[in-house]
Parts: sequence; structure tokens; C-alpha cells
Amino acid sequence: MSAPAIRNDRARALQGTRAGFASRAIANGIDWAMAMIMYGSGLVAYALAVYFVTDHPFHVPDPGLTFAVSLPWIVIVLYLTAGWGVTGQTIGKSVMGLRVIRASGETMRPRRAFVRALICATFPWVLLWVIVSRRNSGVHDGICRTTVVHDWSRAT
Amino acid sequence: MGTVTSFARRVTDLGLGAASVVAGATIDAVERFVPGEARPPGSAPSPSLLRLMPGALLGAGIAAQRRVLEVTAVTERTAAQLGGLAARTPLVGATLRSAEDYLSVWSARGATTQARNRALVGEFVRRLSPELASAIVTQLPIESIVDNIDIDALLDQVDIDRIIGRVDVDKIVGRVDVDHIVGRVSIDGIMDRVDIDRIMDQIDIGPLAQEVIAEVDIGEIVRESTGTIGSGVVDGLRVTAMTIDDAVSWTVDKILFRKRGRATDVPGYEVGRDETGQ
Repeated sequence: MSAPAIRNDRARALQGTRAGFASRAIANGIDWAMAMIMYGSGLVAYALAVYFVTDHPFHVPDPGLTFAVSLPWIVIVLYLTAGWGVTGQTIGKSVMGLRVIRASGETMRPRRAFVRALICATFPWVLLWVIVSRRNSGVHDGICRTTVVHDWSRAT
Repeated sequence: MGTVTSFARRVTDLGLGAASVVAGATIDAVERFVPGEARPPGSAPSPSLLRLMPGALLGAGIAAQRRVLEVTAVTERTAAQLGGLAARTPLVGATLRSAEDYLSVWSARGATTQARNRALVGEFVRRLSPELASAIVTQLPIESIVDNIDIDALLDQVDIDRIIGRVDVDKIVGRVDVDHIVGRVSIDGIMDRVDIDRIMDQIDIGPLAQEVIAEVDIGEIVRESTGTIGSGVVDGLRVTAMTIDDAVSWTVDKILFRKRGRATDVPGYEVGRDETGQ
């Protein structure tokens, strides 16, 4: 697949290079928002299912503190693993024109993507290391030997 | 010939001519309308004494005119000579000059009055003419006249093409003040007179609407517009983020006293490579 025409000279020059903090932070924000939407949608779907199957009135369940923390975390891990392990892109990274690859330049596999998702979901602030890293790498990139590059070649 | 003699000749010529006409007409009328004695049949018509009278009178009149004119001429010449001699004497000359002045004053007054009278008569005629013409036209059998005119024959003689060819349409149009005309047009008045409901009732909207919708590919329009807007916004967001990336990196590197820029190249990676390929 050839890259689509990129009119901005700076953006064209940066294709294939490691992305900076701002681009990755915005992508992560979109991904977190998407995960929260999925989690909320799951709760509503569950409530609708209970409403139609039982005689109870429609009620969105309150999962309690433990599940209110753990369920979103599980959703995020699954969401990030699915995106990175299959195409290297979640929705947020696709919007920002980013792609997660192995530091060697190869495509990621699902197992590495899962480990990276666990770290990101548990310690989201690991991304801050990108600000000072000479290679624009986060802590999780160092552990998993991955990196994030600009790649607008894939349709958003 | 002197002035007086010339005037006298014209007057007598006119009088003699008028007298001749009147005399002839009178005799003719008398013979035609007043019954006379019946002429015996077979007798040749001979000029009557009455018929000879005008010619005889004219001949006598002409002879008399000639003699009168001769006398008048001699008298005028003599008077002029005597007048010239008298005018050269101091007493008579002064008297004549004063008399001339007196007469010239009255002549001027008369001329002024006469000019006013002429103007009065002119005005009278000017006012009278339309009334007179109107009275005449009223009496004319217009319909009969029109019936007798062959309009087709007249029109056949008119060369319309030649007339049209001489008309300068651009010049006419140039003299038309369109703004003035448009300014006098009352749109509201026109709209008030338009019965929209009646027009709409006569239009079959159904087939027309279907035809329009069939020609318009709504889906394509939506795809193109959202795609263009979406990609433009996304590209803008990405470029903005890249700019912020550069600013953050540059600032931090300066704070950390880094002399070299960041190593952002990934040697083994190719943009757009299929994710399944190795």
C-alpha cells in the first residue's frame, strides 16, 4: 500500500520517524475515551439484556468500586492488545497517523502487544518518559522493545 | 414713371378687370336665369347689344385710363419739380421738413398700432383655425373615406425590411433608462397578483421531484463532503501535534544541554509496509 499524498512538507518528511510526546498523548487520550465508551456501552447493553430477560425495571448497574476500576482496566487492555497486535494501530493512533512497531522496525505480534497493553493500562504515566527520551521512547517501549512511528499510509 | 402714376395705373387696371368680370357675370346670369323672348327657330345666333357692352366699356375704360395716366404723370413730374424748387427756399424748406417730421411721428404711431392689430388678427386666426378644422372634420364622412382606402395596397408598397434596417436599435436601447423603469415596478404589487397556490396546483411535483432526486447522487455528495472535511481536520490535527512534538523536544533538549538532536529514525521500518509481511 503506497502512502497517500501528504501536502504538508514537514509531515511528509517525518513519515517513518519516531513520534513525539504530544502526538502520542493525544492518541492515548482518544484511546482512553474509546475504551470508556466501550465500557459504558457494555454496562448499558447488560442493563438492556437484564431488562428484556427479567421482570426488573431498566437500571444501569453500579459495579461497585472494585469492578468500577477493574472492568475498565480489562476493557483497555483488551482494546489496546487487539489494536496493536493486529495492525499496530488503535483508533487513537490511527487518527493521529501513528503506528506501534518493534524497535527493530518489524511488525508487533499479539503477545508483545498484550504485555505493552498491560503496562500502559496499569501505569499510563510511563508515556511521560517520551518527553526526555533521546529516542522518543516511553518506559513501556524500553521494556517491550517497541517504538511508535508516524505512518499516514493507512486509511483512517 | 412716378410713384403716384404707377399707383394710379395699378388701381385702374384692377378696377377695369373687376368691372369686366362683374359685367360679364351679370349679363351671363341675366341671360341664364331671367326668361327672355323666345328666339325664332332656325335664326342664326348673333351677338346681342348687351353682349357687346362689356367689351365696349372696357375699351373705353382703357382709353380713359391711358389719358388719365398721361395727365397724372405730367402733373406729378411738374409737382415734383416745383416741390424741389420750393424745398430749396429757406422758408418753404423748413416748413416742409417740419411737416415731414410731424407726419413721420404719426406714421410711426400708425405703424405701431397696425402691428398690434396684425398680432390681434393673427391670434384670432390661430384660435379660430382649430375650431374651424374641427367643425370641418366633424362634417367629413370619415367611415366612407376609410372604406375607400385600400390598406393592403398601401402596405404592399411599404418596404418593412428597409425601415427596420434604418432603425438603430442600440441607440434606442441606449436611451432607455432601465433603472428608472425598474424603480417604478412594484414587485410587491406583482407578487400580490400572483396566485401561487393555483400555479402549484397545476404543477405535478411528484415526477419532477423524482427526476431531480434521480439526477442527484446524495450519497456521493455526503461521502465527498465528509471525507474532504474529515481528512482536512485530521491532517491539521496531526500536523499541529507534530509541531508541538518538535517544540517539546527542542525545549527539553535545550534544558538538558543536549548538543545533538533526537534519534528518531527507525532503520528497519518502511512506511506502508504490510503488517503481516516480514
